[in-house]
This record gives sequence, structure tokens and C-alpha cells, in this order.
Amino acid sequence: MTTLDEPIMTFQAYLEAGGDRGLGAEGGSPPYAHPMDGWILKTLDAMPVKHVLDTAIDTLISVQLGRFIAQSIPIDHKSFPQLYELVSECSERLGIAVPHALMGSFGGSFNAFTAGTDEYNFLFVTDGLLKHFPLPEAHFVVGHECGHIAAKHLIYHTLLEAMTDTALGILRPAARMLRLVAGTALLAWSRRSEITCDRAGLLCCGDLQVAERALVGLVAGFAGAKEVDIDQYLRRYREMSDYHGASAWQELFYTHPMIPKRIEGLRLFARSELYFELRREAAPAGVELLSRAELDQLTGELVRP
Amino acid sequence: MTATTRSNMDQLLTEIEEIAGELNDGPILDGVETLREHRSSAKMQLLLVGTSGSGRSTLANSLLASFDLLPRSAVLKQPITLALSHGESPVVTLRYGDGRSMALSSGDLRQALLEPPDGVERIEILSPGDLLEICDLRIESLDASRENGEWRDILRASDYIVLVLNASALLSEKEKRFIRELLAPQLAGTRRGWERTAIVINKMDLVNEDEREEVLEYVRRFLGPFAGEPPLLALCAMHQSGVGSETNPAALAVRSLMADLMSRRVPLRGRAIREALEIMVRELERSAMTADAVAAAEEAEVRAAVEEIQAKQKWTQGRIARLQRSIDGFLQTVLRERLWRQAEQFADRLEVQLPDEVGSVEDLATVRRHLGGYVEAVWGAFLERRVEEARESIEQELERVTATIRDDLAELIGGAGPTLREALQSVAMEQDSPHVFMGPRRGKHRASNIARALSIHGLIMLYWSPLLGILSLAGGQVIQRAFKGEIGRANREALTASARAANRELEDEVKRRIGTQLSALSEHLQVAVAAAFEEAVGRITETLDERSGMGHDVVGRRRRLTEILQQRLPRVHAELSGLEAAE
Repeated sequence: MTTLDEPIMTFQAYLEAGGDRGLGAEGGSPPYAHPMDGWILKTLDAMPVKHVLDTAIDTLISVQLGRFIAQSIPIDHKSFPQLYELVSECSERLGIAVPHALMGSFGGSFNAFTAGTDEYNFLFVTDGLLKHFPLPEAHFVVGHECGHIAAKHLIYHTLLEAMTDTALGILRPAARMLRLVAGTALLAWSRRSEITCDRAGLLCCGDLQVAERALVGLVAGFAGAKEVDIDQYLRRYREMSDYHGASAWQELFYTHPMIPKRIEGLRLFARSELYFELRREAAPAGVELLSRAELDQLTGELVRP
Repeated sequence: MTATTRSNMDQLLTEIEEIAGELNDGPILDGVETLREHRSSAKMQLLLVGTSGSGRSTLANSLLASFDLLPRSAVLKQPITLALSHGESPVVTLRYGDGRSMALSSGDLRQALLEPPDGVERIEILSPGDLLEICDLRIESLDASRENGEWRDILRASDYIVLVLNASALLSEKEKRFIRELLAPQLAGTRRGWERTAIVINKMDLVNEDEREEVLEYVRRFLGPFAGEPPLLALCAMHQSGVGSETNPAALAVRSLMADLMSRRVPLRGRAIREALEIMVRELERSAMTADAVAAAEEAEVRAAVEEIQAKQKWTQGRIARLQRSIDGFLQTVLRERLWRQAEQFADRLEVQLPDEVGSVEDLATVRRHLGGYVEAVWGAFLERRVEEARESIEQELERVTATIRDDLAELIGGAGPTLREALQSVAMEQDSPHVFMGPRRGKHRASNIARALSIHGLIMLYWSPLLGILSLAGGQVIQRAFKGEIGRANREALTASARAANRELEDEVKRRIGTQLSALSEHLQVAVAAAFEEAVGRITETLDERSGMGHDVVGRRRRLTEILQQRLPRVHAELSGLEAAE
């Protein structure tokens, strides 16, 4: 019998060689992050509460979602292997460990979400998404969710969920005020963090049209995005926004930017120098690309309610 | 090439064609045709070949000093032949398989490359430029579904070959197969073959700076067994855009390669043709010897042999079944068991090593983030090495099976045996890194549990009684700090346990992959063995029939074959050697 005597690479050597860093950054925000997202996270991370929150939220997830996670179906190389390949590929590209990926029925919706802390996090894909989203579109969605892990959003997103929970309406007035102020600030950050993760999704799937279809699919639901003329959809959105301008303030309380805004945000990113640099691709000839400063400025204007 | 040499080459080509015609050797006749077409062009034929995404278009633009002639695209282009030659202004033409053609504007080239219309066989581009004035450039993709014979024709019709590799996905199975099975045999058959080749390792900027030398070394090591030392050029994709190309070492290297190529184009072109002729002469020698052996057989022997073959139909089937069992046994028992045992040994060794590895990195967050990737990476490296070894073992086994078939056929009538290597060539063995999810585990320590409970209590109480909430949270932190060492150790143990579980999961996955692939390979090779055996028997029968048909002309036939073997081929050979000496 042949015996193996070849040396096994050491963990240190692996880390020195770059590990599985991908587009991830050791500490700090990833290079594709919306600047406001990176800045707010840096500020929050510097506060002494971070460590306290980490432990508390980890426990909170165990208490609240432990059973739900335990009974959900794991996505791995044996169950839903194609989706698992996407999760692995996105993790590799974004430089994170392969997350605990699960699927299950979730209120009939088709969506995906991540929750957890830096220590333990999971990615959940609903049955609807699995059934109705073609693989390329699912690639974008999975990339987006992995982006939350890579950009270390999870703890604050989970905190935001807890703070905006309507069950907490019975709070004392002082706590309610605290919740309103902190919650609104966190919501503003949350909308920017979604822009970061849309970029992560596009970097993973590498195709703007696929990314746009995936986002439209979230609005079109079971009707599917294939029938939607996306340019026309954006035009109509702008007209309707002008007409119903009085409702713009409502966006202050949204965790995500409106879908048309997210599509516009992706279009800006897809014609930026940053995108081609991170995808390590040569830019198409004859196209003038946005500089980082231009991208930040235009995206900033877009995300504002 | 001087006029005398050219005329000698013409004569040699005609002589080889006549001999091939007499021996009824179709492949050589095709080869002569290809070479004639190749020679009819006054220009040097340059071939740029690589997988999609390796950066061939970028390199071609760089070579042609026309930075936007060929679109460089984020999306992989369809594997279609691109033929570039000189023209006063850019003209793009689609050539269809049925002979039709359609002119395109250069702005539509990108779309045509991404999604070529149905039936398009190649895209021809005329463009101005110094390089294209003296050579034609052909760009081929290794992703195109071509038979090996077609690739051989393409290589035969090229004076200089530039193989473009992608540094960030170096030496894929497809690239290795191309070098191992097409390029090396084509070039190694001649003494100075590799001089007509360069290997460009593109996109080097995607590789960490300190790993670049290793990348070059890896390619050199791979080429080692083929005794090939072509120039290796490392290029950066970004640096080929023309920016700073005056001082950029990569751009200078390309220019220097091209200058060298141009200065040697006449001898290179002559050598390419001469080497193709040398290979043909060797093939013709083999063909003539076989024909002579058949012609030498007496009429009665031939009849007896035909009868014996007919009588041995059952025996033949039995032999095929036995060889199939032998292949299946080798792959699904011997090789699979060996690889499985190796996977088990590897898993055992890694399991023992893991606690030290986890302990070697101080920061627990770094361990948590990278441990899964590390376990995957070492398993990926293991799998890659095993696939290489397995391929070698399978090739040896196929050589053995081929020899057995030859012996069996010799029992029938000294027939030439088949080669089974090609059957292996069409099968790619998966060696991508397997992935694993490292399941979460908590360190078991009472202090940690208490701290956790206090934290959750504190978080909830913040809403109703902020003071109590803050006290609880602080209490949790105090306990965590007080037992930091113990909690850290418990967490490290938990991480090690997770990594061990992942290690075992990967062992199972690797074994599963090995089993599935060997099973598929076994099925494929069993079919190939049966086909090879039957084809060889068919060939023998055909030759014997031909021999029977000779009737009284056997003596004349033998005289002609002897003349081919003893006079005409040695004369061609001597003239080729003379041409080589003149180089």
C-alpha cells in the first residue's frame, strides 16, 4: 500500500499565503462598501458595547431561533448542491468562511437573509426563492447575503431587528424615545449597508442584467422578472415618485432602499473603476468609468430619501 | 527560405504525397494537403491559443499595438476561430460553415464574439499594422470542441505557437491535456520543436507578488518531463492596456519576443515545415513496414488467417470481456482502494496535526475565520496530487492493456495494435477543491454560560430597567474577563473539534468523488477497449482482404514496398537532414 509522506501545509503558511481573503479585508470594511456604511460600522465597532452586544445577540439568536435553525434543512454538497456551490463560490470571492446555509419554508415569501454575529452566523434561503429564482439570480442573492457577513453587518442588523420589533411597543416613554432615535440612525445605516451588499452580489454574479432581474424578482414575486422591462420600470418609478413626493419621508423608516434605487445604485457601480478593479477585469473600450469619488457622490444622492 | 530550399521542399512534399498515395495512408495525405495550404501563404503563421478568459485578445491587441482591435470582455467569449491578417483598413467578415460570408462593422465584433450567429465557423479580421504585414495571426480557444486530429492540423499549419495561460487559474486540466497530448507530442517528435513555442503566463498581477516565482517554477516543473524549455513570459493584464508600455517590463518582454520572432521568422517557418515532414516520414515508414509484412504472407497463410479470424469471433468477444473486467478491476478495486486508503491516511494525519495548527495562531477570530478555508485548501492540494498520480497509473494500465491487445492480435496475424491513450484524453478528472461547512460549536465552560445568561438578561432589561440591564451586562463582561484564559481554551477546543468533523466530512466527500469518477471512467474505458479491439480486428481483416485482392501482383507490390522502404524514404530522410544541416 502506498504511504503518504508528503508534508501537509501548515495553518501559518496558509495564512501567510493570503488564506481565503478574497475581497475581504482583515478588520475594517471591504473595499466595495458604501463609505457611510464603512464609517458608521467603524464608529460602532470602536464603542465598548460591541463586545457586550456580540455575546448577548449570540445568546439571543440561540434562544429565539435555535429550534428554527436546528430544524431547517442544511444546504451542503449533499442537499441542494448547486446552491451550495454558489454559497461556496461567493464565500471564496468575498473572503469569508463558508456560512451555515439553510433553507426552509418561511411565510410563503421568497427571500434570503442572514443573521448572527461574527462568531456564528447563518444564511437562510426560503423555499420560494429556491423554487422560483433561476440559479444566476440566486447567485446574486446569495452574494448579497454573504456580503452582509463579509462587511460584518450582522450584529447591528440583528440589533436593528430587535429594536424595531413592534412587540416592544409597551416600552416606557424614555426607552421608546431611545428606540426611535437609535433606531432611525440604524435604519439610515441599514439602507447604506444594503447598497454595499448589492455590490457584493454583483461582484459575485458578475452580470448586471442578472442582478437587476434578481432585484426586480423580489417585487414581481411569483409573476417573475422576465416579463418586466426594467428601463421602463425605472422611468415609471421616477414619474410616480414625483407625483407622490409627499410620501418620501416614509423611506426614513425602511431598512432597505427602494428596489429602483438599488438598481440605479448597481448601474452606477457597474460602470465604475472600482467594479472593474475588484472583478480584475479590463474595462470595455470607449466607456468612461466613474471614479471612486464620483461613484460615492452619485450613490449618496441616490440613497437619500 | 532560399529558392533552392523552397524547390526542394516542393519536391519532398510531392514525393511524400506519392508514397502516401501508394500506401493508401489517408491521414498523411490530409497532412500533405494542410502543409501545401500552409506553404501557399508567404507569411509566417502565428497561433495564439489558450482557454477563454486567459487574456488572448488583450495579448493580441498588445502584439498588434492596437489596443482596442479585439474587444476585451468581462463575459467569456464563445470559442470561435479568429483569423487576423493585413488590410489597409479594419474589415470584419463572418465565415459560415456552408461557405457563406457576411461583412460586419468593427463595432459589431464584440457582439459576434460573445454570441456568434448560428453556423459561423470563423471570424476573419483585416487590420493595418506592422506585425500583420509579415505574419498572419490565428487565435484559438482550448474550449472549442475539436477532435485531436483537428488540433494536430492546426498545430501543423502554425510556424510559431504562443500558449496563453491564466496565472490565476494556472494549468487547468484542459491546458495540461493540450500540452501533454497535443503540443508536446507534436514538438517533441523533433529535435528543436520547442523553439517554435512560447508560453505566456498572463494576468500575473492577480497573483501575490511573493508567489509569482512559484508560479513560473510550477509551469517549468510541469514542462520538465516533456523536455521542453520554451520561453516563459509573465505578463500583467493591466499592463497591456498600453499605459506606460514604454517602460513596463511586461510590454518590453512581449516586444522583445516579437522582435526575436520576426528576426527568426524565415528559419522558423522552414523548420516548422521540415519538422512536419519528418513526422510524416516516420509515419510512412511504419505504414510501409506493416504493408510489407502483410504482402510477405503467402496466399495460403492469408486465407488461413481470414478463416482463423472468423473462427475466433467468440474468442475475440471473450478477450474483450476479459480486458474490460481487467480495466474495471484495476479502476474500481485496485486504484480506488489505493486512493481511498490514501484519503484515510491523509485525514488521520491532518486530524493529529489540527490541534497544533489551531494553537499556532494566537488570534481566535482569525482562527475562526480561516480554519475552514485552510482545511479545504489542504484537501484541495491532496486531491490535485492524487488526480495527477491516478492519471499516470491509468496511463500505465492502458499501456498494459494496449500491449495485451497487440499480443492477442499478433496471435491472429501480427496485426498492429490500437492505442488507448486517446480514450483517456477525452475524460477530465475533477480536481476542484471540495468545500465544507465547519459546523459551529461552543466551548463548554460554566463561566461562559453564566456570562452569556447575564448578557441576555441585561439586554432585555435595558428596555424596562436600564440600570439593572447595565449591571447585568457589566457582570457578564466581568465574568468573561475573569475567566478569559479558560474560556479561550474551551473555544479553541471547540474549534478544533469542528475542524476535525469537517476533515472527516471532506474525507467522505473526496472518497465519494473518487468512487464516482472511477466508476464513470471505467465505463468509458470499457467501451473504448471494445471499440479499439474491434477496430483493430476490422483493420486486419481489411488488410488481409486487400492482400487477397492482390492476386498475382504480390511480387510487384512487394518490390514497390521494398523500394519505398529501402530507397525512397531513406532518400527523403537524407534530404530532410540536409535541409536541417543547412539551417
